[in-house]
Amino acid sequence: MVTDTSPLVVDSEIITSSLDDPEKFAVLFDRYAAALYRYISFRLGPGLAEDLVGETFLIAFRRRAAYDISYRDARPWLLGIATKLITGHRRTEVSRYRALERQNPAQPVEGPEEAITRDLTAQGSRTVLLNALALLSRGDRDVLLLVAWSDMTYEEAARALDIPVGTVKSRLNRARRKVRHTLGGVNPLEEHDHG
Amino acid sequence: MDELKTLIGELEHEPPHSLARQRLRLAQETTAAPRDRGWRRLLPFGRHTRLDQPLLSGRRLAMGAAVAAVITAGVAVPLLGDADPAYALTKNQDGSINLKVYDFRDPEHLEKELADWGVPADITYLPLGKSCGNNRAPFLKGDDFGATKEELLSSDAAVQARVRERLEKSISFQAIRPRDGITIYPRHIKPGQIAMIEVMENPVTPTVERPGVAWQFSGRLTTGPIEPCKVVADPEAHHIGDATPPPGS
Repeated sequence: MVTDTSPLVVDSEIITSSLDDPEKFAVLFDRYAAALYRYISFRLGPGLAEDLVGETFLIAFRRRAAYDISYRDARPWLLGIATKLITGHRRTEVSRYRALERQNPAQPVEGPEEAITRDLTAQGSRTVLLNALALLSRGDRDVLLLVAWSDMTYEEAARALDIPVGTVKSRLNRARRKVRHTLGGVNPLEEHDHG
Repeated sequence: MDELKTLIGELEHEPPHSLARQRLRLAQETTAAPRDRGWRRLLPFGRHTRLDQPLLSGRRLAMGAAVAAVITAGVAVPLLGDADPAYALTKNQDGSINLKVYDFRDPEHLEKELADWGVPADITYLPLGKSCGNNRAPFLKGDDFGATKEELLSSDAAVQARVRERLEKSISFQAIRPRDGITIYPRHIKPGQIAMIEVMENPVTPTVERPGVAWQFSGRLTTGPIEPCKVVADPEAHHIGDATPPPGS
């Protein structure tokens, strides 16, 4: 018998055994809490992230009996729950992007001219990108950020968000197109007005 | 989308040590959660089951609780849709075969798949709330573990433990176990024996707000012949127990 914490034990087995022995579910926390914190904190900031990590695991624990154990990796499932929780705080998320957008870029005090130019360009695209994220629709933003952050496949994202794979693809395409558009120098507000 | 990756890297934060508080929060929930009290339902005789019900026919009582393993699975919300029923069965390293509730939705197909693995099986799939009212097939001698009616209905933890221990030693339990769904151990099925399994699945998935029994099963070995299932109502099937943790947990 392998121990709970052995990395050889796949997530689905842990979930199954937690039906008999609920405390085993904590192994999933040890595996994924840090990653979930990073994901949530990038979207909502550190203030809410900690509580939502806890919330994600409580929801997952209560729903564990419905987990389809043919999927060994529980990460997409957990990220899906976290994403739905984030959606509930979407105003906070948009405000966060807006606030970051307004922050004055840290100007390099000195240095080679090229470096200054590069920094300013990077800062410029950052601002544009934050603006683009704030303007995306909720569904498009969820798919774009979930996939960009986790590198999950379309199928995994579809399962995580409980939407069809076709919807994942179309949302992702639309979101990417809008973001590229804004990065290409087009006024994102116009894009928004038409979308 | 390199810019997006860069931005993500800039905006995400490292998890603080205080995240341990959330682990504690989860631990409090998991510790308070009732352990799987399924074993109590391993018997066809629940604490809340009336003895005049068809499930508990005189013959069954006389046979001494011939292993009708009944387990209750979950009170949860299927967040991510139903399980895909299209999965072929797989054999575990120890030779056992693991079955999930969705495998039972196509009984004939499952019988064929099990036959391919050398397991003769008779599968019945019913909605929760129905059950086979007849005994259907002869019981194996080794399944009579001699529990008295008083023992079966006892709420004394020690008595329950003894009954459970005897149940788990029965021939049918060796072959058909309530583990990871249902697990069949072909090495415990002798030539001429048939695994007779009845699965009752709740068509309405229980939710956290409206908890209930997701599915139950009853299974034992028999040498046959097997009569068709006479479907009867099983009003106790939806009972999810008293939700108090068992002693010692």
